[in-house]
Amino acid sequence: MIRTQTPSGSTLKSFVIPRSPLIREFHTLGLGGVRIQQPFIPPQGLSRMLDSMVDARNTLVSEISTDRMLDIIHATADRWLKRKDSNREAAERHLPAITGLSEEMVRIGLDLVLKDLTRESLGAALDRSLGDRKVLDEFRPIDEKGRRWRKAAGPQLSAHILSGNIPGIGIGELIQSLLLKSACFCKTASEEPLSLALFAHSLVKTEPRLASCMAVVGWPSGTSEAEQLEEILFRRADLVTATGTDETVSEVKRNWAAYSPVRSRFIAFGHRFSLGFIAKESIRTAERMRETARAAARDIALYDQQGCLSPHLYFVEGEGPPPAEFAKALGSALEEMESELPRGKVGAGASSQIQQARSLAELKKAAGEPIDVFGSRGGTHWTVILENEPGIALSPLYRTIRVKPISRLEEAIGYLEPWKAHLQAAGISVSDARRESLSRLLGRAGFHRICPLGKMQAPPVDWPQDGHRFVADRVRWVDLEKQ
Amino acid sequence: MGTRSKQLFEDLAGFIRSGELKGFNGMALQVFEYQYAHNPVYRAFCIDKAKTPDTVETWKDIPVVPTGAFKDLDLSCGPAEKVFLTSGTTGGPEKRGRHPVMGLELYRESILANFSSHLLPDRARMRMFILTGSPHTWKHSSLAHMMEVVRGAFGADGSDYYINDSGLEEDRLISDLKTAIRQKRPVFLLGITLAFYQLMERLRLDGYKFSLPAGSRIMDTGGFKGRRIQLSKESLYSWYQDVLGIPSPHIVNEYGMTEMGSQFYDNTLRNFYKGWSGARRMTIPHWVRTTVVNPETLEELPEGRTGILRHYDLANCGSVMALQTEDLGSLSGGGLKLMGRAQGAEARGCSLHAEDFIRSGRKTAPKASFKPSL
Repeated sequence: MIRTQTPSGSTLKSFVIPRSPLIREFHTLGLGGVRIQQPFIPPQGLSRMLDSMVDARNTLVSEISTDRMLDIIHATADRWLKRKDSNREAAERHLPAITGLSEEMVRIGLDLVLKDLTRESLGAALDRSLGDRKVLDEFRPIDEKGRRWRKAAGPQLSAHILSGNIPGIGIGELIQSLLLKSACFCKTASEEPLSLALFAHSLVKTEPRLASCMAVVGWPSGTSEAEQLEEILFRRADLVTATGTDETVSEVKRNWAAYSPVRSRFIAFGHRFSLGFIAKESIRTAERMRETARAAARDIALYDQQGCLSPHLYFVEGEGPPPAEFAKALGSALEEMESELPRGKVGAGASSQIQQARSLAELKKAAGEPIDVFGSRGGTHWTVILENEPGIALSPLYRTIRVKPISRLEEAIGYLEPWKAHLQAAGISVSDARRESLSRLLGRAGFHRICPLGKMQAPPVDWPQDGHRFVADRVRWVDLEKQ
Repeated sequence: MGTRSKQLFEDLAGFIRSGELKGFNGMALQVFEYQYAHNPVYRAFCIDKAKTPDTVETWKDIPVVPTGAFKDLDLSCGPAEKVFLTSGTTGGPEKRGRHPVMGLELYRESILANFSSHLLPDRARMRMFILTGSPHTWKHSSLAHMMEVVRGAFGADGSDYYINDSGLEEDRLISDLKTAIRQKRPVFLLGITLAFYQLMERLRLDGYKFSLPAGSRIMDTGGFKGRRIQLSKESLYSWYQDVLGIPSPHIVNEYGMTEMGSQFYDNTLRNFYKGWSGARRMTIPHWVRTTVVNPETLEELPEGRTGILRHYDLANCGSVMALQTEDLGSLSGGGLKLMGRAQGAEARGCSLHAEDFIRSGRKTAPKASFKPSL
């Protein structure tokens, strides 16, 4: 574990940067009571650092094969999964305080991020995205006669502007850059700058040469110093990805457009949310109803609904008693979930919004509207609102969910249009016979991932987040025509 | 409106005018009885909660309605004389809150009484530079309505609005301010915080530093709700002081909402002219009661603790008097310390949060008509 001693106690070093003579000063900030150290990066220091990272990468690119890179990632993730890495320990110890999520949630959340980072599944993902993982190392034939060959080149320097507080946020971005053998600069999320730095540190332990072409570091946004640093970064990087609210991402994009070379690429990950679709056949028997409710409760509970894969509401097919019974069953499942996977800390603002939603539902019920509300007692730990009102309403999150009865699931498609730009995943529970036709409609409506209920928070490593294909949107293709 | 109802509205206006500190509970119970009788939705809600005029003995027992309900339900006790809408937002398919107002006269009474004691304790009229749209530009804005009421009652010659359909009229505003300085005529700048911010930015870029004539003052409202501006109220106010030359006590923050007839103001200007001491707090007018409840359990919190604000506002006689807001704050020394609207700021994941789309509250103008260059 990385730990430095300061007079006021122990401080966690929350960054990984190549050695640089211009970066000598550090500052400490408190996040949920955890003391975190970050370097002051002078503009000149950043320039020099980026130059040296690109130089190091240009050497490494021919020295480290894709298979070797897969091994490095595999070995590192494996140590984390098997709890054989002190950095994993540190992440588990400190993330609950930093993110507000419960200890159980942090543990499960980290495992979910890491479980697919194996040489097999990452290798297969590369093959799927690029046709052949070896195109990252050498020209590969693309026609039968061996006349045309093709190679994929990763960016020289990728920059990732991260945000959010889901444990392990940014690991996916870092992994993609490594697989493309790109020098990689990650600006960490101000809400959770720790886990990515710890993971990067573990990667360097596995392969020390990575230290010279990888930087994971943060600085406060919105200051003129930050703008200066971003300018330097954007002038240099040939790929920039940005995660965050639509507002943050478009701000980053504006800056990028102002400074970046024309050939550079920008990938935006903005605001997204997910929904669930439950067919009548999934709640036909009491047994099926319980299973479905448990699966739904798991999708809601994970990350306390903070992720873009978290459902905001479920459309439930049927009329009258079955959907209402499902809403109750979902309440019971969420109540059980509370002991298995307790909800984390909730700020007063979020609680206040949940209270608004609850009492508005009560008021509408009193007014004779077809609506009901079920909720945990003595707090806002979970809330299920059963309502018939057509359309989509966003949830105040932290395990607040709407259940909307609908006579046919396909009818829900009509409600999606205004939200098209923000849809991420659809969790579905339907019979085999209907799956494809419903999925076609959901895909057309704007979703990027359609998956079984209960699996919403466990996407495959190469799922098309925001519609982007794993690594494929980030490479430059080079063709060799032999004749 | 029937004779009895009319009488109640008149009594309330009288109560507000009188400055009488006693008698709130009695008036509140009368208002509750009236709303219970005339507001069917609210009545059903009260019956569900087993709180009816027969069982409720103190104002604290009157069932509170969430302010968000004004978006979905008609909470009026009768035909409205005017309907105010909360501001639209970021272009999402959201609903806007509506507050149908009956008894505009009562509404007016509560605006005037509070405004004069907190913003004009020292004089009857001032030239107002109003940084909102006019009621013609912002047709459904309760804020623009309020501005028009105070302009009519307290605005001296030359009082005017400085936001038109294309935004803040920076040039005209700055040139009028310069004239006022030349004439040594104190000015009253009042409007939305975002417009003040835009003015400050413009003055900074142009390198201006004004020293507005003594007695000049500011009332701002709305904060940076929904914008990515990280500036504390303290820093903002010292910026006002620095750039406009207005001393801190003459800078007053207003807190109000479309769903509520009455407003809250910082006590600083009033204290200054009355020679009273005390920290900057918002005054709770004598016709309003505010309690603070635990956001998780909804139990009442003691003074000093921060939680959800509930207001009981007699000026809301025509709709619902007892409101549970989305706002956070605490009580201190009989005043109110506002922590701001619950922004769901804790929702830090990548999930789209309702708050990013639905920014209720009335204060920022509809985006189409006000575009600060941020």
